Amino acid sequence: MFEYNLLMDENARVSQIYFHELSKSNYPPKKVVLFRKLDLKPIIPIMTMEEHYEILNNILPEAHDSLLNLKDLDKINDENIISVTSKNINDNIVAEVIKETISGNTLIAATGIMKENILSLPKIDFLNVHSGYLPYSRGLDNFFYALIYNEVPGFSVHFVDRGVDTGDIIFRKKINIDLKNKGLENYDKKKVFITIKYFLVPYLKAQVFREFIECVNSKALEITKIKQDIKKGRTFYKIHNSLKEIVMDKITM
Amino acid sequence: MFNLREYLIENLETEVFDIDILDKISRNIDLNNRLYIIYDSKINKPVDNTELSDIDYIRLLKTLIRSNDFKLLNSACKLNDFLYSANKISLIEHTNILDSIKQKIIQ
Repeated sequence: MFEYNLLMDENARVSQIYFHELSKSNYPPKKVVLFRKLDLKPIIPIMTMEEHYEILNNILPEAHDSLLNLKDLDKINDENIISVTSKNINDNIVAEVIKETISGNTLIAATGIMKENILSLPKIDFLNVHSGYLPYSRGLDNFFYALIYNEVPGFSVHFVDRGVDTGDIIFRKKINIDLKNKGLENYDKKKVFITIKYFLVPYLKAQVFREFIECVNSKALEITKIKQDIKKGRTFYKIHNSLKEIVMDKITM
Repeated sequence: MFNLREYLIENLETEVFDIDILDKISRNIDLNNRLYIIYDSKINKPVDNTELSDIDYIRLLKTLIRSNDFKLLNSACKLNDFLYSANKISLIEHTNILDSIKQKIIQ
């Protein structure tokens, strides 16, 4: 039986979605370590949840239905959730809490780049679900880049190493999502971009991780580490703000 | 070692782009903004701190735009912002460059 923990930034939407989706699956996480950033400045949302849900319903109704009633992680009372507050995830206090709380496979969400003191903790293998088909697509905003280059978006479960998305791959999946003819032209393009980035993509990542666990537990998949050829593929960077509207036009119309 | 200035001059008119080299150059834009003349062979770290001249920055911007590759056009946008913020180009030039990048993507 594949068991895993979660290590997540409490304030990130992706963490909220991972917890929501994985907790209600047949394979919930054993333990959850929530990193709470000290002195975090409040973010004023530019969209209401209703707006996100409406756009999401146009794109993928099953994601809309599944993500209704998302709860803030700090309001969940569960004995398997341990919080640690610090300025930076790489602080030694965070490493201590992780070391004392969890062991084994640990899926990360929104942790940022983790440094040696965390990565070298004994008896823990950190896993990430990356929204690109490794080794061909590393970095950020890979879902959008795939669509811009007329490719089917891919997702990869991989071990975390010292590089950016360079760890050994254990599962990959391509998901054919058609964003055309979904009525998205009726919405503010930047709002559609934000909903895809912060709701749809994390939802799909959670589904890929669920499928990975199901495959392992049904013995359809043996965990085999595929070493990446780091010379292959491209590393993509955040899409520039002034290009987001054009990107949305290209992939939705 | 890799001489970025020489590379830009040699490839001023090229229509055949080495995406691998341009990716390595543009990585420095995406991560650091500022670019230097001489890099190590992997185009990863500058080996001295002599910055590209304004004219070489513009050469690089033009090369990225001519590449017609979305990832490189995205880096060109960031370089355009940097050149404006560093007072290397005017607001009108910044706007015109951004428009030409957008046009390339729309085509």
